[in-house]
Amino acid sequence: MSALPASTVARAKLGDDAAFAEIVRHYYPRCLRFARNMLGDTADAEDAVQEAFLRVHAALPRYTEYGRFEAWLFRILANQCRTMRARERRRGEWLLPYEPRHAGIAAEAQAPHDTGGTLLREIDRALQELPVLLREAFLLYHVEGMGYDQMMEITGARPSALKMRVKRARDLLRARLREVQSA
Amino acid sequence: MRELTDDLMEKVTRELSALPPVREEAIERILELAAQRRAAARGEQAARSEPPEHGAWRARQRWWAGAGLAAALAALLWVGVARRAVPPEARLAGPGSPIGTAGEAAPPVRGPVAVADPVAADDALRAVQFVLDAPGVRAVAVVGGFNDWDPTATRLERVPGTTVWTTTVLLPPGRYTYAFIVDDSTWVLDPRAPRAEDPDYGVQSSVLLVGWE
Repeated sequence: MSALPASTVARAKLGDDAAFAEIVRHYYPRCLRFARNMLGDTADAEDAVQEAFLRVHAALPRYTEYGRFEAWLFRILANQCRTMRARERRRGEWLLPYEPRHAGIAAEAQAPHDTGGTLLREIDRALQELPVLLREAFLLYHVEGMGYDQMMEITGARPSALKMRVKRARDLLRARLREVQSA
Repeated sequence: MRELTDDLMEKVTRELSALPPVREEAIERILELAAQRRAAARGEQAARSEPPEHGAWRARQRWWAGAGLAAALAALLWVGVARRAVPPEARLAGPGSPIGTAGEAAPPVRGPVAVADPVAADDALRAVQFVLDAPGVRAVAVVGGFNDWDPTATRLERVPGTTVWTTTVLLPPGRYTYAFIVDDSTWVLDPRAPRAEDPDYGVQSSVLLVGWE
């Protein structure tokens, strides 16, 4: 995805609503993907992304991390996802019924003799079973394509810790999915 | 997507990398809410920046600045006193604690208290003290929008020799919802603070207004 011009963020910081709309439209799909993968539920993901953008909007006048907007946005979004997860745990609602990723995959998953659909479901399940910090590191690195420096800005963890988290997440996912495949 | 060494993990990242369908109305909703909040903030700002008379405003500003500083100092001194001794009879029956303000005669146990200059700059941080009388517990934390509801972020410390737990945090002006987490497991509302229901989750939280003096 092409980077957003720095001038767009600068205009949004000055209160330009059109520039803020440009930011939202530019980052929304990636933010939704990240939140969906983090939370395992599309409706929760939409809520998290909405709240993250509203926080960004409120904080923009004080925003000073020029050139690092994406990391700032994802830091807010990742915090929001953790918050939602923590709330769900507190409410004892973390055993929500599994929701297929989206309609296309749902149809695929329900197709008879379709092992690809089963794999998708299992990927989702295995991902949600990962501890939140491992899942977050795995998604930022392998799915969002971020470097460890950028991940450090988002998570506050050191690169060495992040590398371990990514590796551990990969190992756990691989083991879980191989277990399913061999069953 | 990063290079992976086996087919299985490549499949995993390929599937997870697919961008989900985006609902245009979800984006429109964000923009609408952002515009509403900006308009509300501008309205509040305009209401605050209407001085009755320039000279009197300046004088009042100086007076309040002094009063605010004095109140902050008094509150800090009070915290020191509370740390030394809180009489058992002053404790509340419930786990929460009452709200006071910096200018009131200080009760022995109080809820979140915004100690601040009431006409300070909009973004100035306010010292807010959270206090909970919770006999027989091992740990107390406060969670809220200000710390992303992270139960490990803001722990209260027990005042030695008492059952009173307290902490002070610096917050910018705003409306915050919060709750106490007792023993890392129990969600406790402040019985003396206003409450609000989270429309998304149906759970209640206590409400704190900072800088709306």
